[in-house]
Amino acid sequence: MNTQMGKQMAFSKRLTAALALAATAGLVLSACGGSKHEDSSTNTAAATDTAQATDTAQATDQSTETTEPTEATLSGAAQVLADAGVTTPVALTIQYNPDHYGDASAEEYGAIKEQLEETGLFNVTLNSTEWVTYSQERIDNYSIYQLGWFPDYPDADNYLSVFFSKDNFLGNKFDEPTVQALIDEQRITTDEAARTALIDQLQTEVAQYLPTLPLLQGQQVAVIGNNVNEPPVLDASFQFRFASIQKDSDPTAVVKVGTTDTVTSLDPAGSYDNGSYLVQTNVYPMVLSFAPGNPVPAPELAESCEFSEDGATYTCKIKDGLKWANGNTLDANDVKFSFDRQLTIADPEGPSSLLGSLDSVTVPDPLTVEFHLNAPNDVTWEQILASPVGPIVDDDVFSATELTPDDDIVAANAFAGAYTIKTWKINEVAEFSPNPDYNGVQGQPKNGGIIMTYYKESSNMRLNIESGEDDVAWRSLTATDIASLESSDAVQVVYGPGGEIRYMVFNVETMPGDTPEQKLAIRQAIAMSIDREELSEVVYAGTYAPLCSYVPEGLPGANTAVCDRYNQ
Amino acid sequence: MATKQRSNSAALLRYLGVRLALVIPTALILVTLVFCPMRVIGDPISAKLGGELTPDELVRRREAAGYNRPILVQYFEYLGNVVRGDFGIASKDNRKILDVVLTNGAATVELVCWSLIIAFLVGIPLGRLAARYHDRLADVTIRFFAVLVYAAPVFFLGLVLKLIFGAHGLGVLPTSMRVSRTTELALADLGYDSHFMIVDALRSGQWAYISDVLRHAILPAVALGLMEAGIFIRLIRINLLETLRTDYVVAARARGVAERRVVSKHAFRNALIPVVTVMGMEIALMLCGAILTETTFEWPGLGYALSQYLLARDFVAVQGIVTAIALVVAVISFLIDVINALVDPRVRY
Repeated sequence: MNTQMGKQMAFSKRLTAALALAATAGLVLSACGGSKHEDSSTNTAAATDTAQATDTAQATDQSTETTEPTEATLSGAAQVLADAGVTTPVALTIQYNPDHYGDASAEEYGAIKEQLEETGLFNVTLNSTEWVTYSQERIDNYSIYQLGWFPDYPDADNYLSVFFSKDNFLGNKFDEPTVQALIDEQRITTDEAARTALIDQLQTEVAQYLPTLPLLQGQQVAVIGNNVNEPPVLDASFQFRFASIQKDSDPTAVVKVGTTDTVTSLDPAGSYDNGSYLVQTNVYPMVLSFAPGNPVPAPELAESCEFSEDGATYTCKIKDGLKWANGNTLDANDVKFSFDRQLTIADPEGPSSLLGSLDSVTVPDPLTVEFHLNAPNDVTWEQILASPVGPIVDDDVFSATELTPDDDIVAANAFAGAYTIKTWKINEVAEFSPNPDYNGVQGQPKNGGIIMTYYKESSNMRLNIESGEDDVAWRSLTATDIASLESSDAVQVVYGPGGEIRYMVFNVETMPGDTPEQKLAIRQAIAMSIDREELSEVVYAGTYAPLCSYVPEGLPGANTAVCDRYNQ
Repeated sequence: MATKQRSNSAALLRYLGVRLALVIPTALILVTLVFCPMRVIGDPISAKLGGELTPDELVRRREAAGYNRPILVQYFEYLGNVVRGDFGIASKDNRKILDVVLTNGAATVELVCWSLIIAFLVGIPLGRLAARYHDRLADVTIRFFAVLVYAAPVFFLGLVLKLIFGAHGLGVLPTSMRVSRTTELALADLGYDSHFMIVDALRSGQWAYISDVLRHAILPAVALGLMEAGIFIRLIRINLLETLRTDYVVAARARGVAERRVVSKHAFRNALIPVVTVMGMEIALMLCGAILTETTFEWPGLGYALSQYLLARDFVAVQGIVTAIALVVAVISFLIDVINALVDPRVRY
């Protein structure tokens, strides 16, 4: 997915939205100012809002009549603030973190400051804080701040419920019953089309309140040597699977892959990070997993799965005759064991919190497993089975009550995914061998094995992909390196849809503004003033794409609600 | 006479006993100095998951990990474990700290050894040359070189070397890791896993593996070794100059001994004594320099591991590694004192 956005959108053009917003402002402010439950026209498309609101703001006519950047667009942002009684310039203190979300964060927020101050409506103070302090202070001390997100599972829900429910992890005091109702409803709507419509509506609803401002969407980027004839399949499951890679058109050739991700543990109960999950998806089977090119979970260990009539039980039939690479039997007992130990161990650094909807697991017979859920028809359950909490482990090798050391896992050859691990030096080097008995959704490996090198410095990874020492460079090269490698004859750059998003969080209570209406107006004026395309092209050389709503492009339910509403 | 000898021996033993006893409080102070600030600057769970979990969930997980217990309880628990030889398990990657210290420590020792070789190969001849051509062009040039390599930050020198010899420059030397992955895995397959790459490569008897190890060692060793070479050059030069002014050297010259022989036979050996004394402390300093070198060249030593654990706020790992380094430095200091006491009776009084 290459970003084809041009740079034509100049500063004034990004303010074309202003008058349209001035029109919508009346509607939004009224919704925010006391009629939260009102099922108003705010759920309709922004264009409709604009049309309906033409009598509420005189400037609107000018905006809808011309798309050219004009002084009127600028006055629109000013109009929003003026209508809410906000004195300009508004002093904003924006907090960002320079180390956790990549080296370019400082440049990104420098550009945002420049964009906001160019309008003459804001005076921006940027503060940066080192990550650990940042993560501890953000909720209580920051009113506007940077965050990023990589999903637990590739579903719209993971970009909505965790952000906009009451008591969300942002701690930004956002609490809108209409939003909460839509979140709850989409989670139990099994009809795909109806759910997509709800997700669309939900994003449109959230866009009017702007508790967060979506900015950019990452792409999956792999750099491959010219000898790689089958590149990794980078799809919306956001998983990096070894099996699809091949070099020299030789199915026995060992492929060398580099990454800067780090591994916490081979034990799925003790890790909740990209580096560990990458390994786990390649060595452990799951009840449901993602076939290359398809972001919808498909049966892997399971032959079939279905919800009970009341929707409270999810039953899976497990394939007969499955074995672990060490010869142990793989059946429904391993599945129950894996989920039970996640809940028992509940490791502080593990993913057990993803199992909030799971009540219990039962095994009526060795080839049947039943998941009893807290809420019926939870449509996210299948995604959760294919998430970091879903890898199935060998009940004869793993401890039921505590984490199992990596060396014990490797020594016991307790793998049943597409690969087994031959050599394991954590965060240094790992050697993976194809598992001949694997018959899951990833398909038989097209290579003779993988050697994974873990780099600390992406610059070293870049040097080694250029020199041919590595065949594939996976997460994460800098935007500058990727842009530079694009023009190299020695390598090719492969892109795929990315699940990572970058966004700005507003604490809706503590942010500048004397009243909720003023705070909302400030958020909206900020939304109008930021040029995502400029951030994408200038700061990230196109490796991040503009994110125009809350669910990123590539997933069902993605739309452009925020850009539409603020006419960007 | 015998009484005086016994008295000297007793004084030496008393001195060494006190010095040995001082290792313990030294290590204790260092451990405490590491323990306290690590508790102030954050915890590993916040570092890893602070941007993804609710405040309540974060608190719950910190409590589950025991990070909310009184600091004194955690401190004494840690000390107790250290005394029992249990340095704990890193939360960042679940490795046993003792294992980290042994495996990564071997890599650091190997790097320091390579660097010392470079430092000797460069420092000693140049120091001698500078002394011999005192205040002439060669001396001035060498002194300038010594200041330059000593003053240049190790990581800067490392980056320059990478640019010159790496894929973007001449492309003749590897710029990261201790050895290529294929060689490392091949050695592991052969069952050689002493953690000292050169030892494993030599045991394999395969020239390809040995040369691979040597090629990977060149740039990190030069980056770190040149810094030490700068010190050696100045030390040897100044000591040699002083020795060359002593009476016995003047007498040797007066006897008509050739200048080359005067320097190499009569002056140089004595000029080396202070260098050997300083070397102990320099090894400790090299451990610090190795942290930067290892990070620059992805050399998986203790410094490399320490930097990663620090970023992850992994208390247990940082404490364990720093404790190990502190113990090594304390022991080296003790050994130097022993050597000093043996060769120079004045230090006993």
